[in-house]
Amino acid sequence: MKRKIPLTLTLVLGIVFMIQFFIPHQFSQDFKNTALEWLRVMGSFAFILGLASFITHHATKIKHKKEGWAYSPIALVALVAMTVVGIIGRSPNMNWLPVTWQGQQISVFTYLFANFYNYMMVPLGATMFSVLAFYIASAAYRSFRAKSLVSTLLLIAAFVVMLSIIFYNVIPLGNLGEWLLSVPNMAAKRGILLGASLGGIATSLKIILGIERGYLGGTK
Amino acid sequence: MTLLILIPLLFSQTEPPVDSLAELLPPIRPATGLQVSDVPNDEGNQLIVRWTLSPDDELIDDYVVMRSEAGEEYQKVAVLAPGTDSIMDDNVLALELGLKQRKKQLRQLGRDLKKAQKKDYADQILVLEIQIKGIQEQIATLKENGLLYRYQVATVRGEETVLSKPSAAAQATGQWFHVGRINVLVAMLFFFFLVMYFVSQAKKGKNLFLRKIAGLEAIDEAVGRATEMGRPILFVPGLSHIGDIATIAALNILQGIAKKAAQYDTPIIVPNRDPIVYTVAREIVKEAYSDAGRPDAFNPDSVFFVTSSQFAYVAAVNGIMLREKPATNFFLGMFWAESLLLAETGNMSGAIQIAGTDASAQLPFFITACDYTIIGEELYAASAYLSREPNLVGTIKAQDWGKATIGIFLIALTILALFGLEFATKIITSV
Repeated sequence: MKRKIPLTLTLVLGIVFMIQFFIPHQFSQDFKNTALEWLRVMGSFAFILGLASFITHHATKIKHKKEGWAYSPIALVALVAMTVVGIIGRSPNMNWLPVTWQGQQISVFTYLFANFYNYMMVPLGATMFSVLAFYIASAAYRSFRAKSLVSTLLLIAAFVVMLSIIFYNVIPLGNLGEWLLSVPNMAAKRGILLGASLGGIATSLKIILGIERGYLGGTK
Repeated sequence: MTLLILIPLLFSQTEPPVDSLAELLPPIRPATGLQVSDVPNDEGNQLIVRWTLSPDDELIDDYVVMRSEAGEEYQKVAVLAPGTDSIMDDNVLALELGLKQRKKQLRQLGRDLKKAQKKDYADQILVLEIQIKGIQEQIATLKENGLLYRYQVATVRGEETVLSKPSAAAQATGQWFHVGRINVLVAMLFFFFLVMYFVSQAKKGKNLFLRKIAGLEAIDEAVGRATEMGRPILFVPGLSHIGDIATIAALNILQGIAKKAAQYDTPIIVPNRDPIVYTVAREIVKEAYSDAGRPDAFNPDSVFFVTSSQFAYVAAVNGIMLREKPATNFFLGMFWAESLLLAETGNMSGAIQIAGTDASAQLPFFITACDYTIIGEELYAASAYLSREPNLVGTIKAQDWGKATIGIFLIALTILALFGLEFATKIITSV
């Protein structure tokens, strides 16, 4: 029963949405939009489970004093602070404890939420993203070492593409860089995309028909 | 000498006022031949209006398109630049939608009327009753005549406006079948037939050959390595949601890996970015431990939700890699800019890494930083490859034949296009 219900639902809804794709009528669009709304509602409920997991995970770390446990109280405090400030501060017509900010009277919660987001969340995300620049350099060094014929070809191709972009119209490379990107590179990319798309369709069919059940857990 | 005196005089003349210039020009002529038609393959909310440009198109300021709904007054729809001879109006309604909208209004007015009657607001009751009657009359008219639209195009130059003749009445209709998607339907049915055929062949016991996929072959070795080193396995099921087919493919692989981890008593860590993926992953790992006969060994804290913020998730997973030092990292599913951040940190921590994604932009990063990379379709073939279950293997063969068919079509059409056959070029560029 535990497996039959989800499998039946998958089969029925899979076929229904396959048919829906071919019906442009308003009735069909309304049905699709309603289903998407339901998905969003279910997603919100899943966030409660996610929240429970987050709290349990960090509470366990603190309890057992696992390596790096000191970060867990920070994570929990940040969760509570951002939630409280966000819920109160983002409420419409909120004007508790007013402060003047950029010439406007706003609630201190709204002020804190904006500051937490702009001066903590955004810079922290940007810091992680900027690390990428250094990682690209180290990864490029590994990829472009000419240790075999294939990697030598890759090195030459990358060199030509880079030169053609950086010294556009300075070094007479013609359209070689563009050609490398739009012909051999694009051909390989399309080959991968074609295979991946067919793989995606095959996996969808396997799931709809109940051939693939791994995502339900267990093998029985 | 006279000429020399006259020239500066000529240029010193002030320009005549705009009004007098307009008076000098002949009157502008209107746009003609207005035609309105329904847009095919839509939900019934679009009409296309076409007209012949005014002969004075180069002299005008703009065209103003106006629409009349169900015989009511014309309303402005759009202001268009000269040279424009058509517009797609997507603010119209098919009859059933028009009726639905009015019935909704009627229900709302009915509710308002009840409230007003309860509070005994005589003036409001009177207004609402008139409004209700008006909408009821509209519904009756619509049912009788349909929801018809007429258009007019005004040609404008300054203050001068010339109206075209009104178009014939047109009605928007929603279609029950998208004719433009016939090719998708045919391809889908063909592929469905292939899947069914190969699944039945596999069920009959026919040996279906699968080529060796290094990344999938290495899974056992990777799990074994973690067991030997007494360190955990890290499994990242991508950063996408459960609706992404790559995430489902990754979760299918998780099942096999979790089972092996349970058998070898190797801890597995599964951090998640999406709460729904988290609940599914948790259930999969739990079931895998039960399947391996070790339900008691399942650690509920091993599968957890981290955060839905992309880079905060990366920071957390990188922290796990550096603190817990997993011997094996699996990055399977959908990845974006974080792919290299994760894979490079894993590489520096000395873990054996197996990555797999269908995001072609991230593949080079994984190939560079990981020991094995499962490319595109191999990710979807993984569950069949690992389980060797006939039904699943059959679908892989169908995939291969599907690809071969597309390849043959592309080659044949390219050859025909080279010989100048236009239909081949049209198919290649439109499909």
